[in-house]
Amino acid sequence: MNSDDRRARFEALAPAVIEAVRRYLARRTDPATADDVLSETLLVCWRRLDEMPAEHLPWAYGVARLCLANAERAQRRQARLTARISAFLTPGPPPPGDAGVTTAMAALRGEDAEILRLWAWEDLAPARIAAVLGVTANAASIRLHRAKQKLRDELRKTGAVAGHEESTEGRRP
Amino acid sequence: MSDDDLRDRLRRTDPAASLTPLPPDRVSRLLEESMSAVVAAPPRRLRLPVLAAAAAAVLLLAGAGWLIFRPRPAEAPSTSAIASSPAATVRLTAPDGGHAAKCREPQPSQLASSADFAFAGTVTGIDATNVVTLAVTRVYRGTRAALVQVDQQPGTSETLMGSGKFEPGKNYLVAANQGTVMICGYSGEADAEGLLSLYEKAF
Repeated sequence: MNSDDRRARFEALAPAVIEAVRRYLARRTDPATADDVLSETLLVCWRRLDEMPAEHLPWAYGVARLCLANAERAQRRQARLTARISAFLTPGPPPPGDAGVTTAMAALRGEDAEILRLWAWEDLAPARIAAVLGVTANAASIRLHRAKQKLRDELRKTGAVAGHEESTEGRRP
Repeated sequence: MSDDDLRDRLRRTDPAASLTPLPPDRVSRLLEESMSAVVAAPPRRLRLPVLAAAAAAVLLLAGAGWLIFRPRPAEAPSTSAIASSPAATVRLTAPDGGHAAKCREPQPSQLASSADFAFAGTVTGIDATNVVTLAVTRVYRGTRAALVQVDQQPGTSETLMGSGKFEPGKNYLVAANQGTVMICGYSGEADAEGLLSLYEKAF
């Protein structure tokens, strides 16, 4: 691929990547870090364009995930710990209306909450979640199933599930 | 609660739901910045025996360098997979000149956000395989290496500020992203116009 083709390919696919990754980051970190990590993610996409699979969004989320992890690590090192971490754990101001879900998500383990975010917010099926996290589709599927169950349990515990209690599909005694 | 109900409830807490799309000019600026900041280095065939010999020599030098340039423990090295231990020799690749990148005027903010390793150093030698060795005099960001080796590919020309290539005895400011030297006005001879002030602003 010559450099003009390369540019053309990047210019064609990057706008969708930018929008998706921006959202991904807005859900997980503060605006300044999101901006930095977005630029960094794009640089990596450009540099590794030839490795980018046809399903490029999960791949790009995977890159953003690692770039964000690096940024968060660097920030921790720089002792700007407290504010950023809390921004990371409770992403953004939750819209009013479903504080129960927010509370229940906060009570889950980080990786369970993350897989649920990828499923509900990024709207990814298990096979794509697997591509983001670098695990097998089977593992992603099992983890997602368990995480949903844990979220249901949390919601039930906090009583936020009022009115939906009778539906316990998939639940074992 | 069904999966759909659960997903709906989660979606109502999506912090990005109200995020408006980026204006087109911001999108094109982001694209341009990505494509001009770093030129991808093409894969390179390794000449293993030569590299092994060079690596052995470098290890000796790095050992000596470690004693001299030993970092203070408090200054933990930051970022990236370039090198894992302090005072190790960092290896970088200089992109060849074949990729005609469109260069925008270098920006300190771009340098600050893209470079995961930046240093000032003096070229101590260039071996037969075009590997340039620099003795580090100052690390602006990243691994506190004593020595840096840059794989200067044939055709690297006009990509560095100043004379366009590494020459023995001269001082350079070099920034890198994930092991590739950043060109387009982000790396070059230390006394090239504007380069030092770019580094002072960025780091």
